[in-house]
Amino acid sequence: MTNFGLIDGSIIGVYLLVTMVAGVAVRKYVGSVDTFLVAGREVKLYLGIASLAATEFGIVTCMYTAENGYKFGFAGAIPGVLFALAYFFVGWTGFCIKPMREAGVMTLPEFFEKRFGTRIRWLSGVVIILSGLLNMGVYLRMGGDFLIAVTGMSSSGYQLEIMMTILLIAVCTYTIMGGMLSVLVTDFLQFAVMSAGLLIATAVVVYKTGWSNMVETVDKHYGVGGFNPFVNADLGLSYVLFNGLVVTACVLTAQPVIQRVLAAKDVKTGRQVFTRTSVFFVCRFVIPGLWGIGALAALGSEAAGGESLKAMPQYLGTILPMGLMGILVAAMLAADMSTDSSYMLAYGSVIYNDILAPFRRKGITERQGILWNRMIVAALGLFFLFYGLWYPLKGPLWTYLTVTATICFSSMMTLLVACCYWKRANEWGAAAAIILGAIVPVSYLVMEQLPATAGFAKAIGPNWSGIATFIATALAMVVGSYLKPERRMRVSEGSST
Amino acid sequence: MKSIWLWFWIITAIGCYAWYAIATVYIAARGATDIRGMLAHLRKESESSRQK
Repeated sequence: MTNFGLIDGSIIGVYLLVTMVAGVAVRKYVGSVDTFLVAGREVKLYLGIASLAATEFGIVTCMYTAENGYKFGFAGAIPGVLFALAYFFVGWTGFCIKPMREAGVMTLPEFFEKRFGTRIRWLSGVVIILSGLLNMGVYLRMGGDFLIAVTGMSSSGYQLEIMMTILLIAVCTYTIMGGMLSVLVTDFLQFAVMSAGLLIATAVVVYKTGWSNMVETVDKHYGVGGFNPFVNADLGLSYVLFNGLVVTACVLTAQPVIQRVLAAKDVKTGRQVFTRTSVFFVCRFVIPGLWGIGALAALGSEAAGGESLKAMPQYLGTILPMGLMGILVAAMLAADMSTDSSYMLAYGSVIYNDILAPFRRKGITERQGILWNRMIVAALGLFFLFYGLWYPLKGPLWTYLTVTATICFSSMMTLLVACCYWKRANEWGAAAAIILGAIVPVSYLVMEQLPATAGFAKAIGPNWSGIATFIATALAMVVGSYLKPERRMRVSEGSST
Repeated sequence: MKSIWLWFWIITAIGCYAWYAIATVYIAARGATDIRGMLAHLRKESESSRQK
């Protein structure tokens, strides 16, 4: 039984109404594809920070970071520290993002075209979309699971489906109408609501559970490994290394992230958005991690029928009083809506700008371009609705997300670094990196399923397999680029300029 | 070794909470100004393109 009541429902209703009105109201400013996808590159620093922070924190984030706290203790928050270091380093040095923003492109594949040609642009677009859709496909289900557990709704019947469909329709409506402008304005509102909810809920969790009780619980269940990720039996050096690579690749190549830099007013603003948001990424893991530890202390290690993912929402549902529950649910809805809208727009921009580019007729008007983008966002919304609500997730959520993301991140990071800083890089190397970046993780997933190779796959583990993918793509880029004769390279360079 | 990591997480948790509370208020105030500026600029742009 949870404490969800009428006051909570009213708070959520008011929040949803204000978001919808604000999101739809800015549609009148959308006059070009550039405005629809990157807000006319008018995003200033603090709006950029609010938007990036809101986008990168959804219910799904809250679920897997809390699960990390529940399963690994404080050590489970180590990806947050790695994220912060990566954001700060990239923002401070301008590594890759400076040349990308200066190129004035709208997407990563568009940037690749300048060095590797149109085929690599198209192929990169396909890889980004496949990986992105697999990754984002589970977001809606996770959001629904959280809301059901925290509000105490029945999971039988169609309550989850109906609730998530209404939420997705609301998000699609303002994203379709206002594009990036609606995303930014609603992200801003969502950042404020989400932050208030996170801070209040954390204060309640620490107050009710007690800090020393939380520390003792972690010590009792996980010992030193609950604090030090390097000695944790389930994490270790390979986990830290692999996550270091994944988060760096995410910072550099995830389209929803770099879209903030590409929409920024100038290069300096884009870099500042990264450096000043970096601390937020520690909070992103530590705050829900504390909720997960609170759940472990209060409910034990077999909570929610052994489903570690649902322990945290079940725990919050019992400790938050009426009124605060509404603020928390509104905060989580805010987090989810900002993530969904930004991701749909970001992937929609890759589909329109890069995958459909060869098939679009020339001389398309701005109005037609906007219509195309709106239809793509609507189609993505439909995909997420059906895939997201029916896909059964197995295993830890963070592992699923990192494995599916590696397919794209490993090759895209290699291509980006080579594109920016290695003159010898060419399309042969780029194609080889993309192919290897997909083959290694997919082979690992297949080996896991086959009885003859399952033992070997287990011995390697997802972390070393992921690290191998990053090394393989980098080697493929070098070997592929050197295999292309220099004479042909000069000819293709000459024809592209 | 445990105590070093324990202190690391204590400082990180307190630091995160304090930073997040302050940053939320500050970003909310400055972000609102940014939105007004962005929309005013886009309004001007759309008016001038209509005049052309």
